[in-house]
Amino acid sequence: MKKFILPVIVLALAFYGLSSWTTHETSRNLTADFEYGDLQIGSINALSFGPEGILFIGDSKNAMVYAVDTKDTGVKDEGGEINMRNFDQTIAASLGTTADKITISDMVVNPKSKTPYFGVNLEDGTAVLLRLKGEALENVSLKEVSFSKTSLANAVDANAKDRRERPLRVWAIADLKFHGDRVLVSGLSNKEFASTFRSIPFPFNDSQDQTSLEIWHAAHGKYETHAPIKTFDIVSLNNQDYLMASYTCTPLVLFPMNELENGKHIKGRTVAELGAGNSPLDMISYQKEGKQYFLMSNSNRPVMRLDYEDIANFKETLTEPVTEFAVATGVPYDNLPFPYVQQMDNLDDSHVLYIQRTGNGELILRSRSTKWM
Amino acid sequence: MDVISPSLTLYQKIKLFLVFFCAALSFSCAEGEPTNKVHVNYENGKAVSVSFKVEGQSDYVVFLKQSDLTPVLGTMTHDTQAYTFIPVVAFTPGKTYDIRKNGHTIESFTIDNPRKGEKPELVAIYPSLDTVPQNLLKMYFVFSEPMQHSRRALDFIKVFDNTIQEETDVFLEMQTELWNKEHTQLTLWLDPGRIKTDLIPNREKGLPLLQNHLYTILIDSLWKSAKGHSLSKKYTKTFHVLEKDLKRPTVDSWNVVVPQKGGQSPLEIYFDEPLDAILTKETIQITNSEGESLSGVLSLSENEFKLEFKPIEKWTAGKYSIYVDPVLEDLAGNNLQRLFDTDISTQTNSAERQNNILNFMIE
Repeated sequence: MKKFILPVIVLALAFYGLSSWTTHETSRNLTADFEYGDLQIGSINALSFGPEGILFIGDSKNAMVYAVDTKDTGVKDEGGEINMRNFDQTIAASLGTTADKITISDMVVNPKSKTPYFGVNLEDGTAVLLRLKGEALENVSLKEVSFSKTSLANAVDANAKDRRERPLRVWAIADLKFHGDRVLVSGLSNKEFASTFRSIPFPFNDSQDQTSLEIWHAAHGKYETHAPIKTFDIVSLNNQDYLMASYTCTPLVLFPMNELENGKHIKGRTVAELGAGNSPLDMISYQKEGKQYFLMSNSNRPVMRLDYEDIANFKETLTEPVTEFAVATGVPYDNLPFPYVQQMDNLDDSHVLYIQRTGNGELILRSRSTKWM
Repeated sequence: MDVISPSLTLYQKIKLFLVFFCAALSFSCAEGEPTNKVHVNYENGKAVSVSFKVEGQSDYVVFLKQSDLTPVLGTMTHDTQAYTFIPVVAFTPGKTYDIRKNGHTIESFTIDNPRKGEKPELVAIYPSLDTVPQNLLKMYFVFSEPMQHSRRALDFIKVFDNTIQEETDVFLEMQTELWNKEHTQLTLWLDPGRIKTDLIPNREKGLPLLQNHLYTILIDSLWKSAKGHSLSKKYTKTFHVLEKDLKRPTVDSWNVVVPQKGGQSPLEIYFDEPLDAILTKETIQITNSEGESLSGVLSLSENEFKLEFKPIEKWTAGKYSIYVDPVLEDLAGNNLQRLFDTDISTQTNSAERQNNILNFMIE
């Protein structure tokens, strides 16, 4: 009997081990090279969630992208109703200070747990990551955490043998998104006016693709090659992924993702121009009644809604100039009655979470059904 | 002091018991109240934690005084001596905090406010010249120490068009502000969408700066350093707007004054237009005939018209080169390779490669 039991136990344990290995294979691989310790974060400028509760943090000050294992992997279907008033004051109070001494640099919702995360920078340069559980704010420690990182600093110009100490080219992170198995980062230089868009494989290794994206500027049949991207999202149109980018010059431009290759200049097509003095802040997509929409919050315009079909059907070619008429109209958009929305993300399948400065100057954090958007 | 001995009378024993009972009673009445004051612990001038002594255990929380929004986030620990609260970020200088138990404040403490430190100064604004091209792309503001990270820079900068006596918006508002790593140098762009011909912002609002107009930039003294000190004063810069600069910088039109061998006098490079104050020093290097970069100090002067290179070692006879990274820009964002606002439908030589090396000889 004993002879029989032992192999069964061994077999059962082996099977258990194998099944648990396969179950956690994804997360094991993604965090395999993570280290534990202090991120030594310089600033939090952009946040984006990847799979398995991994949060990507863009740090302009250190020119780094960090992948942080938040361990926040519990699955929830709904984010629940969120309605917090005086939100900047609440965040400030939780950090023992007043609202004039903090800034909320980015907000992102964990798509698994539906927990909102906030990047906060303080007057003295301290950066803190907070999350909202129910109505309580929690600190997410960046000092004792499992993480990996990759640098965004460009190598020193290799054209001359350089013995003088020269500062590395450093890019301020304008936006950051995780897509597929890559972290996409748009960068702004505090010196030269240039376009940099990085595509970084994750888990991080030494290779980084750097693509110069080229705008097709329709008005006079010109190519613009050097305006930096401020904010972007990945949209899927007719089963193809596109980079939807908004530039410092404000046009909304589409680039096919499969054409983004290292060092290659690719051409995008302008699908809409959004008006003067305006600066797009956040972009998200959502579905409503079987249709896909695209929302964009702006610095000086209400939230704009674009219909995916309109974008997909906007089939101006890339090689021929668009007519003046088409440029003036572009893809049609609706202005939703939400001005001064500073941060926005999908809370769950049917709700959007946003931070808005109201007419009386109050900063609120609120969820809203996409039924009304 | 008397020693309590077994020979004490019953009366004495009762009296002693009562004394102890009262002492214990008064002790238990004081339980939960701080018996000794609060002590704020400072490290490198920052209030990193607070310790307070109370008898017994309870759930103590720290709040910003007169705030009921939410407790301060941090870690509360206690040992036999005291409770210690370490906030997530250091306490703010000058602020007062409450230690509360069951919603009641049992103690308050105020953080030292060493506001007597040096006030930050605005050391330079570039371009430093009092005339700029109409298509000026960016301005730099250089401070004597790191500035605050919480408020937006444009909250403190106003631009006034003296010619029409109106305040005007010329700078692009950015969610990601462009500071250097030390947070001492800010870059502001004049709205590029308004500079680029025929973009909607350009058509709707025109160029940010108007030719022949006089502008004044006002920098508010309320702008604080990262340490919380306000600027020493209000700053202003007035400049006049000239025509557009539609030429790329060309190294062939620079004048070079070559130093003599055996000395350490600087190599002088005179530009035919003012160049970007930050990029110039980072994109130009002097190389010897082996292609090695010489060690030395680069300094800009004469309103960014002149660059000097002072070598660490003495000049020796030989061939040298001034190597310029083509990303070097003039005030309008034109670099060695392209104009900022390029109309390639009319420009046939856009792909033409510009020379970026100037050779000189020391004999």
